[in-house]
Amino acid sequence: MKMLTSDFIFDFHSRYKFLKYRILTETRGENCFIDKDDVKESLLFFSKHFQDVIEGCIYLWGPSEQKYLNNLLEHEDLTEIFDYDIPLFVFSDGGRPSEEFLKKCDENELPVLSFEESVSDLKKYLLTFLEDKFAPQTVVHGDLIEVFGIGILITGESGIGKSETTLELVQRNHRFITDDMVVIKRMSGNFLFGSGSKIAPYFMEIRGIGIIDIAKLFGVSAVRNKKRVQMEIHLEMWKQEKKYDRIGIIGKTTEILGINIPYVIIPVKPGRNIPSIIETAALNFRLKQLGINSAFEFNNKLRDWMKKEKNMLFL
Amino acid sequence: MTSKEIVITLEDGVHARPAAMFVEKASSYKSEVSIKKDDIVVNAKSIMSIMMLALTKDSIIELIIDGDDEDDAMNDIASFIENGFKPN
Repeated sequence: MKMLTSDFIFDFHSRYKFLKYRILTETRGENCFIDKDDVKESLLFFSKHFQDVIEGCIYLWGPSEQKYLNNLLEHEDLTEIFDYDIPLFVFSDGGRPSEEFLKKCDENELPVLSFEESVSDLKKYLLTFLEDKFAPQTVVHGDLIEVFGIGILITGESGIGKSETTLELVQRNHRFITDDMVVIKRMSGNFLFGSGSKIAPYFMEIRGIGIIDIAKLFGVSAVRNKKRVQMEIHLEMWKQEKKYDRIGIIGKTTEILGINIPYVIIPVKPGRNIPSIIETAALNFRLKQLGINSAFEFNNKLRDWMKKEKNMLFL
Repeated sequence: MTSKEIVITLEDGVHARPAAMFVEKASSYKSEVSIKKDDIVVNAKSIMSIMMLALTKDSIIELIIDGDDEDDAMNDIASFIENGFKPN
């Protein structure tokens, strides 16, 4: 993953419009790339050894570093800094380096930004933004819906009824995230986050009706823009010969971007109310999170009963 | 599995109507049909996914077809896109 510095400046500003900044150089970074999702403190430039300079990552100058830099520039020229492939310098607390230094930055096509924010705030914003941009992502064909607070990814082949199932769940007051195409990102802390399209969110296609707007039809309380993906439910045609899970003690999992999440296969057949099965699956998932596994409990009751001496059945 | 790079020639880009025609065409084959653009692969039998790619004129896509009737499907769908989404 690589990101043009000029694109970064534009996107970062559109995300955090409230952050006041100035570009101190002529160059906007049209030719340099950010390829690390990290922000480094610039102190190590003063170590004189220039070891461990990581190329392709943003360098942040706090007030103390700025002060030190300006003092240092009176005695020596720090041209060695420009030997490295650094895509962006960011100055916090509204600081700015000397004109001479800026000139050198311009010559080396290294853009310099100055923000009014404090160094710690700025670092948080930069890291959050970079994490989102550089997160590993994948696109899954399916629907994403929040059912009783659980983010459920509904997959299955075309025409199996994913959209119809999702629509029914929306009508049961669950929250819709996206239809047909789910963009899943792996965020730090090993969470999967799913969202829909940025072009036109909350639209759904229902065969026979066409494209509908969920946010307008059901109101803003029926939608949300992103949600953690906690479980995948796969719909498939009922196959006579296939064995489906009847007990649910051994939970299946599926891997998305290297993270395992519970995976449930639900066979579709006339007479099976898929939305209510999904609701139940979500509730059962919550119950398991609370430490209650219905299948285990049932089995334990059965075993307790069988241990009794007079295990007569009273039906 | 077979794949081919195709340039979109449609003046207005792939909006609702051409997308619907494209999905109809893709769905008439048993094979799995997908479109790849900028590392994003979507199911070509789903109209929302196609439209979300926001394919403008001159954008380059990769058509990927996998299945029993992939060769027939590739010929038909590729020429359909190259001819500017005109029904034949």
